[in-house]
Amino acid sequence: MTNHGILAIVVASVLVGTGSAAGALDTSARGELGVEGRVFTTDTDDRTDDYNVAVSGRVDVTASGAAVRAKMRLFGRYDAVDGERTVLVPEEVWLEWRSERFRLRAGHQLLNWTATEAFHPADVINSRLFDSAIENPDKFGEPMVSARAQLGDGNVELMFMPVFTKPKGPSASSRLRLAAPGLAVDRTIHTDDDGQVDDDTFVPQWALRAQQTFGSADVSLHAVRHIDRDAPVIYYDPERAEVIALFQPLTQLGGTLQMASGSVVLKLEAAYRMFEPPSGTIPYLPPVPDRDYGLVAAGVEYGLVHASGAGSTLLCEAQAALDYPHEADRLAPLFQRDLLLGYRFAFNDEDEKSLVVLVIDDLERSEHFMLTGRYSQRLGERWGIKAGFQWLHFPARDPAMPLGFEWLDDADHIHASLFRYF
Amino acid sequence: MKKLAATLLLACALPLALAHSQTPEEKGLEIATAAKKANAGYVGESSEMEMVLINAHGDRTERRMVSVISEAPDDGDKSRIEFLWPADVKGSRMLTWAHKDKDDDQWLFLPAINRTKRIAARNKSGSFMGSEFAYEDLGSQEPEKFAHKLIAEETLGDRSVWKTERAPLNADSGYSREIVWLDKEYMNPTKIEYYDRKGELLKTAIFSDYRKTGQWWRPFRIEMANHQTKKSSVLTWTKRELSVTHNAVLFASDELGS
Repeated sequence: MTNHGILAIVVASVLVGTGSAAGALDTSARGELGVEGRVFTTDTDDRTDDYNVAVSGRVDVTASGAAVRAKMRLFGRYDAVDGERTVLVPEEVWLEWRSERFRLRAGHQLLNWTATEAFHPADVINSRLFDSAIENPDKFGEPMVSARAQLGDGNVELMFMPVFTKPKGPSASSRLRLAAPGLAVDRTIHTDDDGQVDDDTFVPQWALRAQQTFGSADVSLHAVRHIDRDAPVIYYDPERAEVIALFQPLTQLGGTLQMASGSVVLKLEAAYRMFEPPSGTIPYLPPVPDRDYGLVAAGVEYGLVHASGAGSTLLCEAQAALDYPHEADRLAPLFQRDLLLGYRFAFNDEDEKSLVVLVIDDLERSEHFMLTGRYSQRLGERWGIKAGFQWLHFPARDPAMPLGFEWLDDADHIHASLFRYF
Repeated sequence: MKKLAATLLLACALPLALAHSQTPEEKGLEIATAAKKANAGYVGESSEMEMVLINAHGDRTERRMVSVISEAPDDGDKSRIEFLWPADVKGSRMLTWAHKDKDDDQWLFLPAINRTKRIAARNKSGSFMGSEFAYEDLGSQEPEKFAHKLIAEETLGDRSVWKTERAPLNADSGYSREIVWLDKEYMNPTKIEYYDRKGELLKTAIFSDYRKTGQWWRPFRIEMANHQTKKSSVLTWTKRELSVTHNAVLFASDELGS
């Protein structure tokens, strides 16, 4: 965790603690502490870990007064096998001042701009921890100052993000890495607006988003100018013997739509991404092609209720990359032309049992698919279990040089966790 | 003399004749509309609730929640429920904008994934928090959403009630019809029988512990018994305040997760 993350936690703790002690703030807290494990099919490679055992927890404390609020939500994990998976993440650590139709918030914030379940072209602000759920990776809180004004049945929000929060990739021994076994990113750098390498963590970035409800439809539009967090150029520097991930400045224009009609919810996400190319000579950096492109994800969710009160939900989503240059294939987004089909069964009983099955299929290479199954239920009032499996079938086109998801081929695994909630 | 007697007879009989000229359906709608009117004008409500789920073996589990409601004079009410217990759903919130003449708008905020989702509000027959209450039992009961019929005027216990039948107009409702015993003083139900889509008796709700807050009567206890599963659920209000004015931001969909 970074110094500014620690500072934010200390400030929030003091605010929440003193406000509560003085009786000026109402506080509420929730959290969970659990043991989790996952086991992969053996790959007979000593450089990788075929299993992980970890203790993880999340605590979420909110303190509210008449015009001020503070929130602290932290996620932590200690992995006994892979030390690189041990993290302490400030997801939300912020202080807020608000009036009837305006709010100003400063600190680490966790945004969720997505409309769809698995493809998230619009949801780009927060950096991810990539050794987590592939279709919905965990996120880092983004340090920012945001100002929001309520307008009609929606709002307009301006965000200023002064820090480039580096994404955290899988370790060299992780089975969910998108690189060769034993290989991991040693250093993360980014270029500035002039295309020059910039090691400074402080980078002025901003975003503007407007959201409005029109009848049964929720519509949002956004513009983001920041350092990209998803698609780095990975290269090797033989002088330093380092694998380097270089992120480029990115301007993104996009939007989302969620619309309910009868038993159906329609979802749409779209984004156009414009990368600022590196300029000049960056030692050992291979040529980086221009790769401005669009991403469109659309989906439909159909729900039905059974006579028992249980509910079924059918999901169908697809994502396509538009105008993506073939010469930049090695930098392509993970889901370029993919289809998701899913089924969720909620027992709606006192144990909140739930079963989810999802399959994501590559429409261009139909032999590429990912099958996911998840089950969860409450055990009594304070305990819960989650368990599941993932079957990853991504045979490489060129076995000598796999690309993207192809590194995950045969990283099939099962996972289970037991949580105590408080 | 005969003419005077005939005039008097006509004068007495006319209101009766007019009253009887109303069909049971018209009378049923009139009662439902009068009940809606009697319960209107409360501006807003704040509540704290507990719900006990009792299975067929008598095992009990508890749920807790708080809710706020804002009355919308020209449309359905806006309501927001926050779940407090069990611990794994603590912080989950559901926002509903009820409408008289179209499907409600509904959103769900899930803190575990920090996401607000729009949900299809038509599927209201699903179980509410695993209880014997369905979402449609607890939502806004706009008269326009049912076909009504007066069955009888009678007493239930020591209370004078209208016994009416109402059939949901929403084809996705879990019920074919409901028999409602509407208390003439409370202008609220004291008992409702719910019949499933096959016409079989599914559940019975008993509304009790009525208390007067301002000019409005509200039940502080509802017991729902499922005759088919032998399970039951008891919903009690530990706090119920009316005439509360809420900040409109509380009912903004984009603020649900804030």
